[in-house]
Amino acid sequence: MAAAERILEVVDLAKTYGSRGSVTHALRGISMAIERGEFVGVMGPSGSGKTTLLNVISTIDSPTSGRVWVGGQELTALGRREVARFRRKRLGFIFQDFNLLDTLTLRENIGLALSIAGAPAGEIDRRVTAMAERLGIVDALDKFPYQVSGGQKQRAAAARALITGPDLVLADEPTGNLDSRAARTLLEALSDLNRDLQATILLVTHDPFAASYCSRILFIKDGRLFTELVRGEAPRQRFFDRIIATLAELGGGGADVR
Amino acid sequence: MYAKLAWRNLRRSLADYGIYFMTLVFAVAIFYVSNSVTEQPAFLSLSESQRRMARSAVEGMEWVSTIMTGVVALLVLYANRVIVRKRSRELGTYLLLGMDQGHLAALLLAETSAIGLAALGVGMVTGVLTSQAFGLLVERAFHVMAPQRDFVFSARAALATLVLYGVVFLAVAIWQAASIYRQRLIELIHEARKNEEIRVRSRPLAALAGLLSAMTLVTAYGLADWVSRSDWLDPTDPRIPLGVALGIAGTYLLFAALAGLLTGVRRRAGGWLARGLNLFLYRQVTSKINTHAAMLATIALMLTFTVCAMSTGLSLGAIVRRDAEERAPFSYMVTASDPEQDLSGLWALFAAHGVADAQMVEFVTVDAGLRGADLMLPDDAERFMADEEFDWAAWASVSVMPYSAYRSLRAFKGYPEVPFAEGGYLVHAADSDPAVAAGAAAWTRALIAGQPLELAGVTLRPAAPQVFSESMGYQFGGYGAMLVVPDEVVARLLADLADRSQRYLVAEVPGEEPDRLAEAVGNWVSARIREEGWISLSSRTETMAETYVVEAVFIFFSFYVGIMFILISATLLALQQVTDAVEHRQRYAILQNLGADDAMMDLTIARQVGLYFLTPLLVALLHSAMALTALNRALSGETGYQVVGPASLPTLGVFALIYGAYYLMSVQNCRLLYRPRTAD
Repeated sequence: MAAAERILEVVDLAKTYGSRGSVTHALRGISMAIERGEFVGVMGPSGSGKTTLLNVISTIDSPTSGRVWVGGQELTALGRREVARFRRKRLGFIFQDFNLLDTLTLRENIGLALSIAGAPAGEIDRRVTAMAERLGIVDALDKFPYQVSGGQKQRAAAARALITGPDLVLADEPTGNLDSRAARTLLEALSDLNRDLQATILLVTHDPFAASYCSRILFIKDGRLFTELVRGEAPRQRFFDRIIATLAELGGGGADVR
Repeated sequence: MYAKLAWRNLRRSLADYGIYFMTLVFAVAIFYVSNSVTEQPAFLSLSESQRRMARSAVEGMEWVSTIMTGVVALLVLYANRVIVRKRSRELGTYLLLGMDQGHLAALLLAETSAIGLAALGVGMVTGVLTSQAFGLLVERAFHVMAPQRDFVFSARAALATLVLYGVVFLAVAIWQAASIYRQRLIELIHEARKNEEIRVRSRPLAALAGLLSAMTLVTAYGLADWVSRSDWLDPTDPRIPLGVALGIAGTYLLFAALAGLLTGVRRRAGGWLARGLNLFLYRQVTSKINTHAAMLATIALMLTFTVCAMSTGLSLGAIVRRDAEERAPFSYMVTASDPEQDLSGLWALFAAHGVADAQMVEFVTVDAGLRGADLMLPDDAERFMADEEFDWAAWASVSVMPYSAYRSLRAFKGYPEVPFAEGGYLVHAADSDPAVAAGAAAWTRALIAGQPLELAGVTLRPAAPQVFSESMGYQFGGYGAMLVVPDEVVARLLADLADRSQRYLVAEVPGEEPDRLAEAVGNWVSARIREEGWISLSSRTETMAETYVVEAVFIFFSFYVGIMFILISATLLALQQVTDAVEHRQRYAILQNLGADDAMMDLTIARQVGLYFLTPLLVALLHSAMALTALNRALSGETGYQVVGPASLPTLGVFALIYGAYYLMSVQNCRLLYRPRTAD
C-alpha cells in the first residue's frame, strides 16, 4: 500500500457537559487516527462516549478541548457557514433511523446530496443510477421511502452518504433498525464500497456482528480509549469471537451479544 | 401543579401560535372600534338629518361586524382543532401518566379560556387606543370637525365586545374540553402519527377535475363579461349568482386538480428541480397540497372578495359623491311642478337670513316637445334615429330654459359668460352618456351650419357655434340636452304649455351657511306639499352630508371585511405551517446533515411559505381582474364612472402591506420552528 493518507485525526479530545454543580465528562481525552480506505468500528457500552465522539467529528457538537482534523481540515477553526460546506463536501452520514425525506423518492433522496453540493443537473441521474446498482436498489429507485423495506431504505441512505465521494462516512448504528438479513446485506454492501471505492467508513455500533465487518475496532469506556482490535487477515468468524471476548472484558456491552 | 402545567403550556402555545393570537387581538380591537363609532365626538357633532342617515349606516356596520364575529368564531374553532391535533401526543401522554380525563379537559379548558381572555384583554386595550385615532378618520369621512377631542371610551361597545367575544371564546373552550373528554386514549396517541401518506391519486381523475375547473371558470368569466355588456345592470339577474357559484366551484376544482396533478409525480431529477434545494421545496409544497387544497381554495375566494371589495370601496364612495354633486349642484334648489307656484315667501325667507337677491334666481322651464333630432341637421337626425346604439341622443327630450336664468346659473357656478344675441339660441349638454356625446357632435355641426329653429312662431338662429357642457346638475343639461332661448320665447311657450312646465328657485350661498337657513327653507317647502303636483327641495349641504355617510359606509364596509379576510387567510396559512412544524423540522434536520447551510435553508423556508401565500393570491388576482373588469364595464355604462379608479391603488397598497407583514411574520416563525438548532 502506498503512503497512507490520514483522513481523521483526533488529538486529546475532551467534552464536558453541564455546569459547576453537576459535570459530566463524556470524553476525557481521546486520541485516534483513521487512514484513507479504512473501515473502522467504534464500540463501547452505553454512556461510554461513542455518540459524543461521533457528534464532534460530524460537527454536530463542538469539543471542550482537543483538536480534530478531517482530511487535513481542522474542525474547530470552521465558522458556521464553513461547517455546512465542510459537511456537504467532506462527510457522509448513515443513521439508525435512515433519515430519508418521506416526500422524496429514493432516487431523489440520493440525488439531493448532489444537488445541495451543486453538482451539474445532467450528471446527477447517471451517478445516482450507478451508485444504486452497486447497492442493489435500482428497482426501488422510483419508490417513496414508505413503499420500500427497511433494508432498502438503509441502502438508499448509504448511497446518499457515499455518492458525493466524501472523505469520511459516519455510520451511527446503521443496522439498529434492521433484521439480521437486511443488516447483512447492508454490511456487505458497505464492505464492498470500502474495498472498491476506497471509501473511509467510521461505524459506531454496539452490535458485534456489524462490527465484525470492520478492519479495525476501537473500544471506548468512560470517555477514554480502552483498547483496539485489528482484524488483519483473520476470517470474520474469528474476528467476531475476539470482539465478543473484548466486550466481555470491557463489561456492559456483552449483554448485546445475540 | 395543574395550574403550573397550564401556564407553561400556555406560554409555549403563545410562542407557537403568536400569529393566531395576534389575529384574535385584531378581531377584538376592530370589533370594538366599529361599535364605538356612534360615541365618537365627530359622530355626535353630525347634524340631525345626517345622524338619522348615519344611524342606519351604523346599524349596517354592526351587522357586518357581528357576521364577521361569526367568521372569526369559525376560525377559532378550526385553530383549536388544529392545535389539539398537533398536541394530541402530549395530551395522550398526560393520560398515560395517570391524569384522568376530567382533569385533562379542565386543563384544556383553562388554557383555551386563558388565551381567549388574554386576546380579549389585549384586544380591548388595542381597540380603545385605536378608536382615538379612528375618531380623526370619522371626522374626515363625515367632513365634520369634532368640537373637542377627549379620550373616548364607549362602555356600550366595550360591553358588546366582551359579551360577544367572551361567548365565542368560552363556547369554543367548552366545546373543545368536551371533545377531549370524550376522546379515547388510543385515538390521541395515534392522531399525531396519522401523517399524510403521499397518495398517488388517480391522474386521469385529477386531469378531469382540471378540465372541469377550466370549463366552469371560463363559463363564469364569460357570464361576467356577458352580464357586463348588457344595457341595464339588473341586480336580480340570475346570471350573476350562477356566475358566482360557478366561480366558487371552479376554484375548488382547480385546487383539487392541482393537488392531484402535482402529488406523486415521479420525476427524474433534472433541470431546474435538480438544482440545490428546488426538488426538496417542490416536494415540501406538493406533499401537503392534498390536505390543504380545500383550505387554499377557500383562502383564494376570501382574497378575491377582499381585493374586489377593497378596490371598489373607495371608488364607489367617490362615485356616490360625484353623483351627489350632480343631484345638488347649487346651495338650494326648490322645484315646483306648478309654474304658477308662488315662491315670494322663500325670497323673504332668504333675505331674512342675509342672502342677497343677486344670489338667487327664479325661472320656468318648458318641455316644448323638442327631441335631440330637432337640433340636428336633417341627414344627421336620420342617421341617429336609425342607429341602434346612439338613437337615444335623437329621441331624448330637450327642455327649454330662458337665457337670463341660464346666465345667472353659470355665474353661480363661476363659469365664463357666454355670448347671446336677440333671436339666438344655445345648446347645453353636460351628459356623459356615450350616445349624448355622439349627439353633441351632431348638434355642433348644426350650430356651425347656422341651422335655424322654429319655436312659438319665432325663428331662432345659433348664438354660438358650440355645445356648452359644464356640469349644472341633471335637471339642466345633465340628462340629454337643454335649449337656451330668449326669455320672451319661454314666456310665449308657457302660455300654451303650462302643464309641461316647472318653476325653479335657485340660490347659491357661498361660504358659511347662515344659521338655521336650511331648517327654515325645509319647513317652508314641506308646508306647501300638496296632493296635486309636487314641490321639492334639494340642498347641497344636506345631500353632501348624506353622501359622506354613504361613502363612509362603503369604505368602512370594504375595509372591515377586506382586512378581516386578509387576517383570517393569513392566519389559516400560518396555522397550517405551524401544524406541520414537527415533520418539517425533521426534514430540515436531514438537510443540515447533508450539508445545507443556514442561508440555503432560510431561503427554502421563505420560498416554501411564499408558495403557500402566493398560490391563492394569484388565483384571487385572476378572479378579481375578471370580476373587476366586468364590474367596471357594467357600472361605467350606467354611471359613466370607472369603478376601479386610481383610488384602488392605495387600498391595494394597504392590502399588500398587511398580507406582506403576515407573510414575513410566518417566515420568521417558521424559521424558528423548522430550523434545527445547532450546538454552537
